[in-house]
Amino acid sequence: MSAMTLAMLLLGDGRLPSGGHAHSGGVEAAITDGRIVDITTLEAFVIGRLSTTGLTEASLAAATVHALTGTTTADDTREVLAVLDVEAEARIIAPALRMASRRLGRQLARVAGRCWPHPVLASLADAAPDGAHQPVALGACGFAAGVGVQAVADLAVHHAVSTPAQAAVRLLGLDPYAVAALTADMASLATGVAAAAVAAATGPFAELPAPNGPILDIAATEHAGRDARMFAT
Amino acid sequence: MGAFHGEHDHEHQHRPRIGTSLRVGIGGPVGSGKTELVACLCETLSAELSLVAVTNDVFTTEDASILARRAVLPLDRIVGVQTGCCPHTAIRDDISENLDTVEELERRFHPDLVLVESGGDNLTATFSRALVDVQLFVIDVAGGDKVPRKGGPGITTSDLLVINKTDLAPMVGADLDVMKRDATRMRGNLPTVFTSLRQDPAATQVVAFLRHQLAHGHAA
Repeated sequence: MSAMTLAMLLLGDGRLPSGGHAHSGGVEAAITDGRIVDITTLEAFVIGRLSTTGLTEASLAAATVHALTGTTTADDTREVLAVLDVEAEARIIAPALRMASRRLGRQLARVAGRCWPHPVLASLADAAPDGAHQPVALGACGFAAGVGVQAVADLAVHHAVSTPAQAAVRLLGLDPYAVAALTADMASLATGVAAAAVAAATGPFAELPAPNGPILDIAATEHAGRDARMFAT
Repeated sequence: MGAFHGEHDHEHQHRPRIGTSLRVGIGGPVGSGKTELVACLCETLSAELSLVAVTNDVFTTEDASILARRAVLPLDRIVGVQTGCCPHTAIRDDISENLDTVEELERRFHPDLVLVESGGDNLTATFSRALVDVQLFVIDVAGGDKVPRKGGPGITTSDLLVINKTDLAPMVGADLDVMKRDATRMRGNLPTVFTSLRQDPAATQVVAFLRHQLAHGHAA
């Protein structure tokens, strides 16, 4: 196995201590609102999420790796990461999701710093002292781990599918085999989203894709103030 | 009691600590009295120590208002974290949420004592040594006098086993001598205390244990 493959598998493993287990990607709120009740409605949710925020996140992550490949000095690196972080902020609208995204970025950088120590992670902390947004952190951590643009886009897409899928299993007691199959069935859409993200990664930062899900934002905002929730988002 | 820190010093070296707080994990099954213990410890110690609390319990504004009414801690010193339906993951396998919250509170308040209350779980729960310096495991007499002999890392390795609700023993037919004998057999030299927080809301024995930990230095 190559070091890059091992790093990619680690980054895609839900057991990596990077905080993801406490997030449902909007599924808990959707269940509370009655929008997800079974495997069919979960599938619709995952397709929607992957096509909107999934593409946005994968593009930011892929663009981060691409941009870092071209930087030479620490100042340059910090500047690029700061600009990408602002682009991420502009694409994450709900305050609760902004906070969660920075927290997840911070948590990923913490574990990546132990696994793949690299100066780029110090630049990341300088660029965003409260934690960079998760997609930017994923890009920087992927870069530190020697994972390329395509692989980082794939990881972001994998997160966008597996986070809601796993949460739905825990909250609704759905058939875990059916949910695994649902994830596998996303192959065609996932491939397309990752390819679009990689294609966008080389363009100007301001033109990175920004599709969003207003219901996700509204539901996340309500969820953050709810009593007795199991997942942070 | 003191041996723990020597064994784990190498782990602490990786982690730049903020301040010198003692981080105490409080785990145990649902309903054994973890929240009650946190409240008692805060009431007893908050006059002389700076305290913060992180709760992994399903945290509601009702819980918060109960704590607020008892005035055990200002509300900004109590933070709830979500565990994604997996309370033991949040304190053992992926401690990110808890560690992040603990560090935030340490930066803000420079506390002497950080209490991390796990969500109610089963006997397999245990705290990561990277999250807490010392862990208490709380079980209760009403859960049955066979609980200590069932083992699990909380029973066998926690730094202090707290057996709560001793006042209920006659009502539920629990034999405290059996529990004591089994706890000693399972834990070797590790300490166990029997208490009833209802009868002793000052949590005298637990407070004495924590004072000892605070006085005899923990890895900082």
